[in-house]
Amino acid sequence: MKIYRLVNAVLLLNSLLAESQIVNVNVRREIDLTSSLASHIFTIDVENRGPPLSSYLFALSSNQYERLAFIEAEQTKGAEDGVALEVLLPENISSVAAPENVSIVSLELPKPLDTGEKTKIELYVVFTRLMVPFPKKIDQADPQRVLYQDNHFFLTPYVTEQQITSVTLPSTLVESVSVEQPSSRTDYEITYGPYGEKPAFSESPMRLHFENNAPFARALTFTREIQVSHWGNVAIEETYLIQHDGAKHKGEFSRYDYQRNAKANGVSAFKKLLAVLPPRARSMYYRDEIGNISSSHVRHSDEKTEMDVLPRYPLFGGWKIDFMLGFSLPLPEVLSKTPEGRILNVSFGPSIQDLWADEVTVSVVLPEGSHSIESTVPFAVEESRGTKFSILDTVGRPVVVLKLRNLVPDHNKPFTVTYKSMPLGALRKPILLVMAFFCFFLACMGYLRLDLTLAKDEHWQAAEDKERARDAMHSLERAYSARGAILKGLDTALLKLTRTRAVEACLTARAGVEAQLKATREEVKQITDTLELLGHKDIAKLRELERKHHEKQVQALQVCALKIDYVKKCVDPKVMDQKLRGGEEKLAAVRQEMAELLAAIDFS
Amino acid sequence: MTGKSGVAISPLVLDSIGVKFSTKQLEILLRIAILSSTCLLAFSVRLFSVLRYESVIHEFDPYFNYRATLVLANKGYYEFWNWFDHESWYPLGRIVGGTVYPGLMWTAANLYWLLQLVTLTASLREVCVLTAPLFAALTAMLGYALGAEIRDRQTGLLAAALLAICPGYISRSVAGSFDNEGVAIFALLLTFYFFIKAVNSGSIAWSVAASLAYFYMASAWGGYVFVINLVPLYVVVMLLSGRFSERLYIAYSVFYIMGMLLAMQIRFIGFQHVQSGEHSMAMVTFALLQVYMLLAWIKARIADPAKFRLVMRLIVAAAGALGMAALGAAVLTGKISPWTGRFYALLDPTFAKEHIPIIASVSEHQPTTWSSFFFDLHMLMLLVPTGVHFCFKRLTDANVFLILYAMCSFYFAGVMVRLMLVTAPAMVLLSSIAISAMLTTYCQQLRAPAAPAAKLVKSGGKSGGSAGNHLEGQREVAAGMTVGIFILLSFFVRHSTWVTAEAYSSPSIVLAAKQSDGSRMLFDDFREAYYWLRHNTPEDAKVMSWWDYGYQISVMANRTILVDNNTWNNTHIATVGRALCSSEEDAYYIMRGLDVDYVLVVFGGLTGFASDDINKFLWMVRIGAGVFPDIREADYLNQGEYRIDKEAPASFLNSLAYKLSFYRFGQIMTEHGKPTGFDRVRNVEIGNKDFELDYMEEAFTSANWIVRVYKVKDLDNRW
Repeated sequence: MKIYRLVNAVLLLNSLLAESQIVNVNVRREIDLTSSLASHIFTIDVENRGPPLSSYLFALSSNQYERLAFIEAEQTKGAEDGVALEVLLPENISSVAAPENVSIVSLELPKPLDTGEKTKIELYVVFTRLMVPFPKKIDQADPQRVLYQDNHFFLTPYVTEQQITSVTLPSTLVESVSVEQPSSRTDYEITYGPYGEKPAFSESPMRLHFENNAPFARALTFTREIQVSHWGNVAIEETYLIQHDGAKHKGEFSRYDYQRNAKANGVSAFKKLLAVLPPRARSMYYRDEIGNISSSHVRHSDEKTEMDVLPRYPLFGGWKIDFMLGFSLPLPEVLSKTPEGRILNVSFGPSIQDLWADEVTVSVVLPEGSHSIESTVPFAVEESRGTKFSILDTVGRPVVVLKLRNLVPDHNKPFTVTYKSMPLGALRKPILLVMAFFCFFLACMGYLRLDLTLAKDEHWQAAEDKERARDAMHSLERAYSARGAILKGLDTALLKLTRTRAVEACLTARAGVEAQLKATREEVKQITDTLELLGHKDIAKLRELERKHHEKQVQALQVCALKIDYVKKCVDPKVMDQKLRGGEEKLAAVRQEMAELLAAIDFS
Repeated sequence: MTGKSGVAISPLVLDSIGVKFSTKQLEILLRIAILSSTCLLAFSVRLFSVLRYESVIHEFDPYFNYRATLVLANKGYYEFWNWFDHESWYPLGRIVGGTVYPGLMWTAANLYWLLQLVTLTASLREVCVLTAPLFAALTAMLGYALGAEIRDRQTGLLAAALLAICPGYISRSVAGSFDNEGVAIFALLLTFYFFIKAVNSGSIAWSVAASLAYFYMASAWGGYVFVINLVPLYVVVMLLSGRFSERLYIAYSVFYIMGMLLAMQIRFIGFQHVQSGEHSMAMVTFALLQVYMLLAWIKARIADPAKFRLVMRLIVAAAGALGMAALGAAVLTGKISPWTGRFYALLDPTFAKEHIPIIASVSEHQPTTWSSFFFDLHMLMLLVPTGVHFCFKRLTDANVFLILYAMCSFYFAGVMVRLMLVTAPAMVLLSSIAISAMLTTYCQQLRAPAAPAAKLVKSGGKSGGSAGNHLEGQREVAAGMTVGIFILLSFFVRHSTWVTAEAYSSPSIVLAAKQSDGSRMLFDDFREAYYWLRHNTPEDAKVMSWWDYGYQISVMANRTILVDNNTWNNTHIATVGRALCSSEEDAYYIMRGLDVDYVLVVFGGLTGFASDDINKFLWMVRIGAGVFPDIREADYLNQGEYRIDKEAPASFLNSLAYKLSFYRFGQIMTEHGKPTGFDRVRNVEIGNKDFELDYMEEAFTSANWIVRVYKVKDLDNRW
């Protein structure tokens, strides 16, 4: 039954293909197995010997197709730059049937290939997990050996006239290599072919068993969140759940052996990953669920920022670890503004090199209020939209979510998101905060001006009186100090007089001081009256003090007047001093009495 | 201090810029400014740990609290209330909902929800890390309120400032120290504040507030027992010293009844509040108060003293007989439980050492040394007696409370290091009373205008020293003292900052060491090993370790553990201790019986990390011996001496803890000029170097060998 179906399918396909009659004139295949990923480069010279055709079919074994991570095709003509071809995966092709273990990929040519026309197609294909650890479990000291299985011949639905394959290995330590003559082998390279004409779907199993200690770093999940703030920052955070996907570690892990000689005891393990960040990356962090991971080093250069990411422990086969890696970029680095909107241009990730990932989610969080969002990614991804609430968000930030399975380093290409932002969108939060604080202060002001006393009883009255008395006492203090300043003005005027003998100026100054003093006297009187009304205990002393003040002022003014008079009359300074001495002494006595009075008054 | 001089200076400053304030407004403004900067200070001084290390949960217990908060925040109150944790104490499990003081988790989860509500999306970890500093700021505000209530506002302001930076309090409230004490000290002071308010005013409203605060306290920390004993003690002292008043009666009666009913709602307390011996003093005091009030009531109605004396004797005898009968019945029927070991250990410092090794083995339960008193309280130690003096000088109801609080807590702080925390606020309050009283006096003298010299001599001769205001050289002395106090305060600030930065900010899961070139080196071994367990062992793996690391393993490694820091089941811990001190083969049977998959030991011999399992070994033996008498401490000692070299007894050299710690260590050269296998903690060459493990295999060892994880091998295949 199965055979019947297979034959049937092949017949069907053949009948389809019979019409096309495309021939692979020459095929060159380069298989690179040096890392944990297998990459194939095909250079195919094609000739169409049938009717015009617009698509070229490319075959992969089902095993390979399941592990296909990245495919890119170009059509080149002579020295011209290649034209990228659209690649249709089997899910999207309806008309082609193939043998059961073969999947067909269709490359759409931009211009149909005419009868007899020749062209050259180049393909770049990357597979994950195509090298299988064998043995599956190893000790700490064992190197890791892998088994690679493929086809000696180029698998194709067309006739191939000539082909050659070269395989690059990561090491010279090779267990076994399958042979299909003619083939040759140097240290790191095996060449199969050239082979002559082979019919469609020719197969001859290739089996390579060799040592490969490249880090088999596989991210079971990888997410990258790019958060844009119009205040000048783009924050990028990547989370990884990484597993060593090579041969599983078995038995003891001896730290002693590992520290003594990591090369001999743990050659298959890796303890370091390299992250390459944009040159202007800043505020980097590297942490996990339980805190900061203190082992990392950063090197800056003009082209890039390199970060050595050391997981908490070295990873042996089958061991897992997760962590977060974050950094910020200045906004102008990745965002440009055009009349049509803003264009964000960032790389798809991951920052960590030489790693493949199963489940990938890249999300772009745009500022609140962004609209007309469109994303352009150079390869097929599953796109959806979401909303994220962050600090002080009211309606939430729009999020572009891009999902992908089987990511390899070749996917780390820039992609763009264009969007339009709200006018004054960036000011939204500051205004919100200002409003909130304004309301708070307004409420405080209202509260402080509000009198919630229900009944103004004697307690209330007493407290109120006390408060007013304190207030009055402080005003009094202030008035006294003001008065001191005024009197000092008199002194300076007199000093000037003795120097310049400008009698007129001094007279005006004296008049001014007199007026000012009168005004303060009024003020003090008012305050003292209030205090008397409130029944202040020191009121008598205050009155007394005020009398002394007055006495002092009169005396001072008198001394001043006398002095002016003497100056006018050009009395000898010595005589003048003698004559004035009586007044000065009186003044000093008043000052002394005042000081005593002041000390007895409670100003608090 | 600041308040007083500030008021005097500021009017002129503000006048000069044309702003006019009334005195009251000015005072409020200043007070708010001082208090808010105190808040800021209290909060930010506790962020040293985040700056010097990282924003991470500290130490041991906080990890459990964090885990419990996660459960509460993610699953809600009801699930939390009924939470049965089957991932700890395997195979017994733990009824967490009923054996936890949930106040801290409520607080943190509510803070988290509140922040979510106002769209400040902080992660729960951040909220937990910053809960303690936040409450420290609130506690500083309470310091102000208490100071103002007990003496005056100046004292309050000073108390707030001192409390904000007092090292004794900082030790348990730095960022990351997400422990019960962080909120409990706030609750404690809140209860005291409301109670003092209630006593001062005799108002039911304040005593209800006090009982609500007590409820919060009881929900947050086992230290609530201190409150429920101190308050009755205060009432009794007031009664005996003749300061009893109806205000006190109202305050205590309402507080006790409401507080008791509320505290009983906490599942962990429940009926203990009326049944256990630790709470009996409150109840007896309550009864006593009723009898006393009854007598007072009768006395007011019986004029004849002789008659009254008769009635009094009758009533006292009846009440006494009734009380004794009730007590006897309760004890006989087992309704009243005797005091617990922890309580005994508190009253008698030597009790734990003799009877409860599990309490004595914890470093924070050790008696306090004088140096740590100075370290934690600094100049407060000098000022407290002065403060007590000033309290006695102007004795009020509030003062009496403060003195009692200070005396009791000081005694307890002497018994256990960790209770330094409780005494710190009392010391701060007393010291601020001292400083405030002194400064008030001296500042008044400084502010008084200088009298001329001639007069001064005259008046001095006339009135002698009685005038006080006119002593010779008094201003100079006052100035000297003010400057002295200022210097003292600045030293305190310096000391506190230094202590906080150097001693109290280490998260203790990351160890820092100075390298020879002066740079800082971090040992992150704990997290390395825990994270390895988290990702590379089966999800249901059971990890056996000494109980110290239980909480950390359950959070950071997310694996089932046998014993943890809750130490509720002594037998289980003793079994683990027994496994660790038995030979590998005997231990294997115990471990198979307990379904153990991995064993984790902490080993410092390579790095010089002293608190490792080898240094804790004797406690394992002692705790094990407490339950299994066949374990004898002498078997692990060489003539009473604990050693790890060749002289050590064979039972120790072949014990599981020894083997797992030193497995393959004998091949390592740790220091130049020393033999291989030289232990850098004990400074000796180990005694058993060359051995293989038969029943275990090394599964993981961290980079500096501090944490070593072994896998328990399966049984051999039978054929």
